[in-house]
Amino acid sequence: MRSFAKVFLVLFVPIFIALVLTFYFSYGMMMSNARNELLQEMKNKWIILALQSGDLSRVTRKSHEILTDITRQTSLRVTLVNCSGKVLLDSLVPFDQISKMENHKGRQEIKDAIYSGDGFSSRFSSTTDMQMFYFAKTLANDQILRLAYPATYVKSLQNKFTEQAVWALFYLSFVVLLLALYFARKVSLPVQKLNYIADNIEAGKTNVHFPHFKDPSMAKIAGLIYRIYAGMQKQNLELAREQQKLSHIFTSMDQGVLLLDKEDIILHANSWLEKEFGTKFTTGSSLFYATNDIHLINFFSEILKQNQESVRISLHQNVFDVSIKHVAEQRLLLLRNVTKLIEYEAFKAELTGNISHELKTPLAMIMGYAETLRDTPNIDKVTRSRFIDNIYCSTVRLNRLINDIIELHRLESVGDGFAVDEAISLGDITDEIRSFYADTSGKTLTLESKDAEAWILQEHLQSILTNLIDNAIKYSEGEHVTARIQSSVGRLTIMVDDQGPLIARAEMQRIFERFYTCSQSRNKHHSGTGLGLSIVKHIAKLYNGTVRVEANSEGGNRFLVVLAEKN
Amino acid sequence: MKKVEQEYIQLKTELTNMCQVTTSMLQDVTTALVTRDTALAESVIQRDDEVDDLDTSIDEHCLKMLALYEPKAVDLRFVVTALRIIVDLERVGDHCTSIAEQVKRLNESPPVKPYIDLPKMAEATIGMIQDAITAYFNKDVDAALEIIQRDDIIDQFDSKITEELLGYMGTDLTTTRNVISLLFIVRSIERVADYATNIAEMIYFMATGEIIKHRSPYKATDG
Repeated sequence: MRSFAKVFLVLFVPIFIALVLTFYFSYGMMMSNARNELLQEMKNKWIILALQSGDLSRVTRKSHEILTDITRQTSLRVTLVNCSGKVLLDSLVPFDQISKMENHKGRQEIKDAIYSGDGFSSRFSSTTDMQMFYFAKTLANDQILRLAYPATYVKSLQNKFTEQAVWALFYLSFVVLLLALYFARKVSLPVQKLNYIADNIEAGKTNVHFPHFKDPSMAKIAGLIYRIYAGMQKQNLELAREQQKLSHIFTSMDQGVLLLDKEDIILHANSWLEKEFGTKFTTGSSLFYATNDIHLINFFSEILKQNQESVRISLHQNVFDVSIKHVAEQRLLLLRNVTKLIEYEAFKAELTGNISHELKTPLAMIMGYAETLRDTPNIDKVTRSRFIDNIYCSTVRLNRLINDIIELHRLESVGDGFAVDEAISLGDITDEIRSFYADTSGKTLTLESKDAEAWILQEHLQSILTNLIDNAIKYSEGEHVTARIQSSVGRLTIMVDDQGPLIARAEMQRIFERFYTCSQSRNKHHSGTGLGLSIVKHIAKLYNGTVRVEANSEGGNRFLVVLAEKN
Repeated sequence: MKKVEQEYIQLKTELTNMCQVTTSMLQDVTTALVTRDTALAESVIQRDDEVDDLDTSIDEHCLKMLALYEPKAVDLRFVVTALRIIVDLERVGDHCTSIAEQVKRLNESPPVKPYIDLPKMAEATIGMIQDAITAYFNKDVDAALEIIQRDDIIDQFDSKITEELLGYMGTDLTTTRNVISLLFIVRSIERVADYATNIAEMIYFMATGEIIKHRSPYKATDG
């Protein structure tokens, strides 16, 4: 709207002013032309009268009458004055009163006529009571003939012209106004439309309406803007999509991504960081702004101080691998929690050590005895058979150990991904176990179980029972081992009791660790693989169960395994 | 970011740094005592200069902030508290230096006893200082009050260890010299914990504008 008013004013005001000025000056010129014409007319009339002045040269009543007659018919006043200013004749004054008229020497036109031959003036006449034009000129006999004409002609001309001029001005102005309005609209409308488009684009509206342009060049400009705008929109969309993709990637990354500028202002931080460190990493604020934990402040200050590309640094109980990349004036930190990895590496090293140690003992025995047998051909029969027995025992132990390791590995790698297809009969299992231990010397085994069914893999239940019963038989000094299997509402409880000695309280948790074998006093005659209870624990874990050891009423140990059946 | 905000963040990192240096001194001097590591004790003594430098630079920084930005209300108390915290941290550094001197001396003769409670006491004290600085950054009144109460644990350690040491002195007079050194160390750690309490009290003042020093039930410390 503003542009419309502007264009309108720019068009209308100058034209209007020009119009007014034109009228004003032409009015002035016209008036002066009218005057000049009148003067010329009076001069002509004066010449005509002067040619007739023969009749006037004698001041008589008759000559006065001629003048009066002229005045009556032409409204021209004729005055005859002598060179000293005395009025001799006047067509408007009765002949008798002329002598009483005042001397006219002081009148401007008379004065001019006396001095320069002719004179012209315009003033109000007390004789005629109106504005008059006077023209006076010296006659040949030194008398001055003055003509006077009322100014009504010029006046009426002036009035007439003014009226016409005002009307003309009014109509012209109206036309100019309409034209200005039309052109202003024609010019400002496309500008307004362009403005509307620009405003909408600037405000970030997604679907900007592009109005239709009649003017081809304007339509071309609008088309150009539309193409640029559409291109921009497309690019924006692509950028947003790209950003979203990146943000998805960053969010799902299993490491922290932190982009900082040279003043430690966060340019980007993924959600991993907030999850890991428990503070907000707000983009645009300083890294240390929202962080108030001094350990965390220290952690990041340490990282930012580093000159190397990667650093391993710890915070509380965790260890992080941080790699620092300098990109232009920004720093990209990639943080990875490697605590578990380090723990796993330590565990792996320990496990390898344990396994090789456990394997070495029987192997060394086998090698030792085999070497003796090879180097001593004349060994006596009894010793030879003892040596061979020992070698055999060692191989059995080695075999058991390897089997246990394989079994444990299998259990560990199974996870939850197995299903129990059919229920097994607890009675069948107990019968099998009972017959397996039937020829065990020195210990009696009592097996109690209800004749029920359980949703559990047979090998798992067998493994638990044999491992626990084996341990009880091997390590207990008592005579009796009792195993009970109870089943109720989807839960299977396996209890194995021995008669002591009691496992030390400090060891009760550790015995389920791999390769942990109890104190020597309990273990002196028997060597286990140290994996049995670990296997039991793993099987329990597969069934979301628990395993623990406690003291029983007989002063011995009770191993208690609770499993949730898989049906 | 506004310049004044940058200044606050810088103050924060500087204070963290100073806290880190002093607590590591206490940590290392305890390790030096337990492992009889004279070289480590020596390094603690040398680190005191670093603490002094930090004290000076933070002091100047705080004064600059006061002069340039004329902070009001809680911001003013924040800066003023920083000025007072660094005094206490500097004294913690001094105590660690004196402990290190004693450790160097103790390492010249056989140990009086295995140190079990002393490292625990030092660890609890370090925790108090670190938590106090965190509470200062968080303007956390509850944490400050909790730290003030934790001073009782340190006092219990103090009396327990002191009694034990006096027992050693009673049974074996030859250990007197070493026991006195150890008593000095225990007393120093107890004083360090008092500084932590002091800082906590200042935090209470900073957050609320109320002074709780010299008022029960929280014990006053002379800092």
